[in-house]
Amino acid sequence: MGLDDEQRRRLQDQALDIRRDIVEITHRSGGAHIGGGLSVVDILVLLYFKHLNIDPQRPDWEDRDRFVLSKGHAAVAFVAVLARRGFFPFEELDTFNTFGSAFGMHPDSLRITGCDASTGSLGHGLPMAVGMALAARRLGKTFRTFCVLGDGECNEGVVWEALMSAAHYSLTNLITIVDRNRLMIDGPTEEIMSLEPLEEKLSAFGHEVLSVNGHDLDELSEAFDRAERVAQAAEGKPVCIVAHTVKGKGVDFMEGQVAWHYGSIDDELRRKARASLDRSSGDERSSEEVLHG
Amino acid sequence: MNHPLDQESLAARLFVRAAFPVMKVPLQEDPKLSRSPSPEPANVAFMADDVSACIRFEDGELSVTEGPCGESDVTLRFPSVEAMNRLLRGGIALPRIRGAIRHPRVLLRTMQLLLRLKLMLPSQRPRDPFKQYLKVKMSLYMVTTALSVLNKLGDPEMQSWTRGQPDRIYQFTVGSPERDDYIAAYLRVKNGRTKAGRGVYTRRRPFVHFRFTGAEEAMRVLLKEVAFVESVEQGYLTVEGSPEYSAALNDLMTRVQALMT
Amino acid sequence: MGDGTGTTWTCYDAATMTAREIYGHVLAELSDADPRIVGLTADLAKSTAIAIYERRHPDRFFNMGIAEQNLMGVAAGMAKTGLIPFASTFAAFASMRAAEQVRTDIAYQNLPVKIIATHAGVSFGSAGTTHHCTEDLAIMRSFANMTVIVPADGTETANAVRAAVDIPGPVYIRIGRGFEPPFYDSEDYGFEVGRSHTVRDGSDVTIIACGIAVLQSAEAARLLQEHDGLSVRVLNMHTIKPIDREAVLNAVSDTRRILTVEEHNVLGGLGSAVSEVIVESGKGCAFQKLGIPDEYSPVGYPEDLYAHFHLEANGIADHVRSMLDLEFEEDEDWEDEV
Repeated sequence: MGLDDEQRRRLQDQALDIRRDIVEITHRSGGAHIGGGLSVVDILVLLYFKHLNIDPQRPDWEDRDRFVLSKGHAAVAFVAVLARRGFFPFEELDTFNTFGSAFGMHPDSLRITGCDASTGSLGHGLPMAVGMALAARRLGKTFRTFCVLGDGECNEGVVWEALMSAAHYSLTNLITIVDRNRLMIDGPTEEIMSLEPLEEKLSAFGHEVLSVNGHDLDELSEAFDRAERVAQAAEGKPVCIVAHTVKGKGVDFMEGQVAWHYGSIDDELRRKARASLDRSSGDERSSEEVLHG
Repeated sequence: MNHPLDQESLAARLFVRAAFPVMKVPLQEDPKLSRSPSPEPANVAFMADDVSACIRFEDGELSVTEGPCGESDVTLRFPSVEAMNRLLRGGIALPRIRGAIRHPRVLLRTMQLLLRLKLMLPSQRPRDPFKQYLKVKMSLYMVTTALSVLNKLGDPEMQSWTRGQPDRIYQFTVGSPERDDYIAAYLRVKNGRTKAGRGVYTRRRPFVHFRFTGAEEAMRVLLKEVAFVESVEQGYLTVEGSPEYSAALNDLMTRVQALMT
Repeated sequence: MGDGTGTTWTCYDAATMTAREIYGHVLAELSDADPRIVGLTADLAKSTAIAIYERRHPDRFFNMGIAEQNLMGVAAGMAKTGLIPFASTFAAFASMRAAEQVRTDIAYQNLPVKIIATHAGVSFGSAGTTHHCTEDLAIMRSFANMTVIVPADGTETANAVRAAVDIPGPVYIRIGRGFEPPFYDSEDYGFEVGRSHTVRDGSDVTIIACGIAVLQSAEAARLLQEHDGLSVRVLNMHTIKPIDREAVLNAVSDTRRILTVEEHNVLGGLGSAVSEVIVESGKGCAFQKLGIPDEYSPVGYPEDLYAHFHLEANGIADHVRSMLDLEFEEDEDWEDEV
């Protein structure tokens, strides 16, 4: 089905706003996982502003689609998306990283409206997502469960336990997305603990693997459409989308840089980052309008 | 220890260590005694054969130690332990008294207190509630101390009873704690050692607790006007804890009372 | 192993209902009434007897294969979606292999996952240390939001399972291999999570026990009464967390001597939990812990191992006797108060 021009532009603007939010939050709060946050923005935006069947007015709605951010350190992007989607007032993010705040490095499901699972320790999210999908089957519900993993996260054995069990139970209502930005803390994934050939491994574990450009909204959207058809048919293999991304996407001096896995931004870097974002989008609106509009 | 002379020596030592100290009770609580002016500090020596005691009066208080006084202001010397015991059991005995002229008030106070000890005799059955209270308090204090002393002196029957026991408390209480006339005393037993205590032992639950409802009820039980079993049935007393051990203790108390009354 | 009963090796008469079979039956019954209950295991359905549940409710049972971390993560996800999962595996794997999942997915999010950990302590006998677990109480105790229960026998396990459903958060129930002798005649002795059960009252010394040690302690108390004339209080402290502080404090003030007995390392389990209460009270109390003395067990039938570690009536009685000689500083004054 893909996207029409109006949808695409709206989603691109949305993604740009989120990237700006990430820069602002990182600047204000003293530091965040900015690299991995920026790489996952397009995936999150597409899910939360198009594909997820959710209702911000009813965050506990039993039949809502579930979302698990297994790469929990991308919380900085996630909470910005939740806020902009209307789960809670955006101003609450001003407390990010401060004492007693609901918002920090990793998402707390008990305190953040719209967050379905507390994650942060790598490898925990996908098993929980499997549990949610199994529960849906048990309860006779048709909601889908989406789970975003980091690629370095796939070093963890429990991820493969979860993938194995998802295939064994034919969990077509579970959609796994790997944010393949090819970097981890100590260096490129292929130097630290190589994952390649990743798509083949995932396929061998019984999943239907879709390999897409993680920043191309059309490709991502088509992949999600395919996943939805599989879910509705409730037959075949669970879908696993490998989204090829760039860590730090949108901020030129961060793109593809190991060092920007986690960082802080001073005024000077903020200015440069905002400028880079403005350039990359060709956005007509000024930064000030986005901030206060 | 079965020799009659030894039994009398034993009884005498029990009187000295268990009975004499309870003179403190009337001294502190009987208004007739506590209101009258106390004599100046003085030592009063008791002697009978090889048994001796020293009672010291000072600042309105009384203390008793077994053994000679060293320097005494008043001395009561009995011809024998039997004579002293006879006197303390309510009979007649005439000690030779020295120091009566120089310290008349001391002697008077001593005799007054000795007389008060008679309240513990079985023949004494006061009707006045205050006298009942004094009798019961003095008796319980005396009995618990006497049992402990008997054990410390190596009495075989006591020793065999205390030897096998781990740390245990035998508690006696009369009335209820909120009242002024509450009486409490205990005997602590452990592996052959004993200690008599005043008040309620708080560090652990008593192994046996004899709870008397009131002084009159306690008196009737102590005077054996009511059998032990009946006293429980009548509600004079509740016994919490091991029945075998409370019976054994009861027997020992009877023996002590026989020695001293 | 081809007898269809999973990894068992006993020489007991299995006609008597064993702890884990009762658990399977009770769970199946509860599931009849409550649609939220589901069962999971990591390839140990037969060994943990949750297979009984599986036969009754095949559509509500999920075998996750030999993958304990995934097992607990999946249970967490199910609990997030409104189910009440009972996850069963051996104690060693539930508490150590999947410790982080139990703590981070289940306890931290305060989810109603009920973990039934079997073959705890050294009850797995000749399977050896790799399948023993003498650390699970220490580990589970340290997770906030977790309730930790050690039933004394099959009947108590049934009570614990029923009670677990009504506890809003996570629960860890640890049992043996399932052939432990029964202790309670009926279920109506007054089981209440968080309150110990006074098996026997007494005033000379208190034994606080959990699991198999309860029966052994009751037996030891009987021996001590008959042969030594001692009055021994025995408490079944089935709930390790939250511990029954009041019962411990009463034992301190009534008896002043406490011995704890558990099929667990003396470090970190029931003994440590009780000692915390005693020490914080500021009152003097003679105290000893009986358990696995911070070492790994030799191979052997569990009965032999229990004897080796003194976790049976005679060994317990001997320890009680040795405790009675202990003295306190304030109590060294034997002068009569006159």
